[in-house]
Amino acid sequence: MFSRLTKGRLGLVIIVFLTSFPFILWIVMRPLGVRFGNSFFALTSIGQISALLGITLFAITFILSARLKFLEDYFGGLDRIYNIHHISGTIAFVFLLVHPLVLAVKLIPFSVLESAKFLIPGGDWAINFGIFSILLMMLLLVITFFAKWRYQYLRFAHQILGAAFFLGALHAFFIPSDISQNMILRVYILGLSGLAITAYLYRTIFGKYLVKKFTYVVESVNDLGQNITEIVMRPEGKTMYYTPGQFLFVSFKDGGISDEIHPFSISSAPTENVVRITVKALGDFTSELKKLNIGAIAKIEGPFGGFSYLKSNNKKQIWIAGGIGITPFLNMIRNLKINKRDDLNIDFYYATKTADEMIFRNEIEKITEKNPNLRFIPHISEEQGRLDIDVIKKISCGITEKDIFICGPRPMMSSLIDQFLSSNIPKSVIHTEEFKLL
Amino acid sequence: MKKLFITGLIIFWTIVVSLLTAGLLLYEYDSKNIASEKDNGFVDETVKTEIIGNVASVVNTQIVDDGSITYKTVLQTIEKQQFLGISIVSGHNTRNDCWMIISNKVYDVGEYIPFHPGGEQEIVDYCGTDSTELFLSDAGAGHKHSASAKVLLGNYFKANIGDPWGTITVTEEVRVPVSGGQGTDSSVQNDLNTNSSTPALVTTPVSTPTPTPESIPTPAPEPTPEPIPTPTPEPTPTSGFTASLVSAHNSANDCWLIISGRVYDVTQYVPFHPGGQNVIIDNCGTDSTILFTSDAGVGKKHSTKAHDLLANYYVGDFQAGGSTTTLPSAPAPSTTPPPSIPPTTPPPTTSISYQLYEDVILSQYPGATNFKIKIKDDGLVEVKFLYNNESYKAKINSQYQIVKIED
Repeated sequence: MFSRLTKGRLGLVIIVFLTSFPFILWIVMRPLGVRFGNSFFALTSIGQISALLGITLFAITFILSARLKFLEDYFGGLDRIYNIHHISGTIAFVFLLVHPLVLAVKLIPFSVLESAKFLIPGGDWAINFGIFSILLMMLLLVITFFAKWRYQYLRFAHQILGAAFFLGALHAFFIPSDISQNMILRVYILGLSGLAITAYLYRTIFGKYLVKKFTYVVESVNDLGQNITEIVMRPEGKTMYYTPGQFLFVSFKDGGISDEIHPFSISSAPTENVVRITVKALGDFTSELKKLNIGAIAKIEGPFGGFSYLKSNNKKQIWIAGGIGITPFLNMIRNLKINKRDDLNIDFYYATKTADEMIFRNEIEKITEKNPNLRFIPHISEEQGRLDIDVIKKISCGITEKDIFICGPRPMMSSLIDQFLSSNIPKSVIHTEEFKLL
Repeated sequence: MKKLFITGLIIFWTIVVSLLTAGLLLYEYDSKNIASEKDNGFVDETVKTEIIGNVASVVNTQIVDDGSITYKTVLQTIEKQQFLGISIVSGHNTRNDCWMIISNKVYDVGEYIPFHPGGEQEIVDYCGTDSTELFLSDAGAGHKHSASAKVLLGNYFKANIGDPWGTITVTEEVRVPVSGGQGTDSSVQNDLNTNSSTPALVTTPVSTPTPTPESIPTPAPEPTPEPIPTPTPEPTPTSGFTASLVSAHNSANDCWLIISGRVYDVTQYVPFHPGGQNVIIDNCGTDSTILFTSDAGVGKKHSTKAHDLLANYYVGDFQAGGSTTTLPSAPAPSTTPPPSIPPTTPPPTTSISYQLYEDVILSQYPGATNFKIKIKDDGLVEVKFLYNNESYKAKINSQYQIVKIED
């Protein structure tokens, strides 16, 4: 039926359709010549369109934020879903800024005073809801982007956007407009908003009861040096099954540790009966993880991620790991150790700045020595310069007809992706894992 | 995304702060044409008329002999001033031509109909009507028309109720008795006559503020004041004036009347005639005995005071016989402006002026007493009086017409 690739694109197609639908409906509701007959009506129309697109994208943003497992296949991975969530959220916000602005500005030729009064809360509660909604949105997004708070407070502030959406939806329903006059549009926006609020409530208020989580126990906490800690967890109830390259969300119940929830790549092989995560101390939470006690309860949500060599079309593959981006590959390598794949031919580049940063090097070399199909190419940029496509072309004898997997710091990833695309490598063979979900 | 967010935010707040600042600075100055919530009532009036010109032409004459009285029927063409009222507005009552009255102002809202957030039919149903209540209340929608709706309405403003709305020319039949006729009865139908083709007229015209307040007793100065030619002093004939002689003085500027065997030069009085100038001018140069001694169709006869007043204008006696009674010729087509009072000739003294107002009242309410006369700011004269033991208040304009009466 659908190839994996096509299915992975479907999500975006559906979003485009969901956004276009109200827009097209709006266009056919009335003749465009009338809608744009003069500058006053044109501004009104722009105000209406931006509202429709804004609320639609806003609703979609909420649905995407709910971390719904079944949506993953339609987007090619949770990391991609979050990517789109950021984009749709920002675009929705911009539309929702345009909406009141244009409707106020259109009054200027008639009365500057009335134009100014339009933006101020007054006796009309339908308008007041709209004003409060956009102000709340602004405040919360400024916090999201700029406040240097602890992660869990930032996260909580970000989640209050649900209230902003609710106010915005109230505004959309009580204000006399195209929505109020057209039954189809009304049902559509109502339905979409309802879905958004449901998804939001599922994730936030009712998350504790509705979201499926696995219960694991911390078995050991190992310091690997270089500020890297490995945490090993064993299942208490059901075991989580995953494919190599995936990641999970975990929160710990331990008096000395915050109970916030964070994503980590799984570095164990699926056949192991434990789950390992490898954590680099990069922030408040990750820094305190080394204090984690053995026996602490871990709540795991997952697995997520579409980053897996199993999804490759070509037998020949190029893997590129940068810095801490090694973790998904670690997972895959450990898996290859157990489940040998003689049909595959993999060039594995591991790029770090210094030699010291190259953790797990010994383990990797041990595995690759025994696996002729897996070639290990360490690259220390301090000594050899940056890893770029020319190096790869040379060492791998060409880059065509191969699937490429990249995971590492974002600048490195962007640069390499651009280089591959410039060399006419099709996007479909380039797999990436967004290591930073934020 | 961060960049997009910041850019959007900065642009947004720049515009909003500028707008709010501008709004604050302009706080005292409100824009015009915003429908005010205070104007609740509307003028309950149809087209009002006012005779602005004299007879334009006599189109036709026709003699009708009614047995005892001989009448002539005269067609008059009159130009009347129209004022904007509901009857005109109600003619624009379709979707494609939709006017509305809101707070005494008329708006042409046809173009707006497709954009009405409350729905198109909600406007179309009320085209051609007064929708003040609906606009100012919440019309059942749960909230009132917003401030921006009121601003938007101003865009469609056409005119105010009561604005002059062009003139219409009407031709009416007027029956006038022929002078020298027999009989004691005559009825003269005044210009305000049911044969007219004007739209519905009110018998008691609603008072409108006169555009230029005039100070009574000086009447409004005419544009081209024409000195009244001093009537050539006729040598007082020993036997009196003949009909043909009198008939030569048959214009507004030179107007003689024969009444009960006496001849009067009423030229100077014509503007002060409570019954209007035209009824005299129509009969200049003729025998107007019947008109003067009867109630002349207005329901009340000329008062005693009127008789006394008339005496002031006596020039001589009438001598019957001699030349045949000629029918008065048609008055000259009115290119002549209404008779003007030369500044040198002082209008009647104050006491007579006040008396005139009393006369006006008496002509309609004989026996009225306890007159209290006050000149109002709008140029009208207010006369309070007692009639049949009830007190009334009347307003009289510069043409000595009662324009309002209330008790």
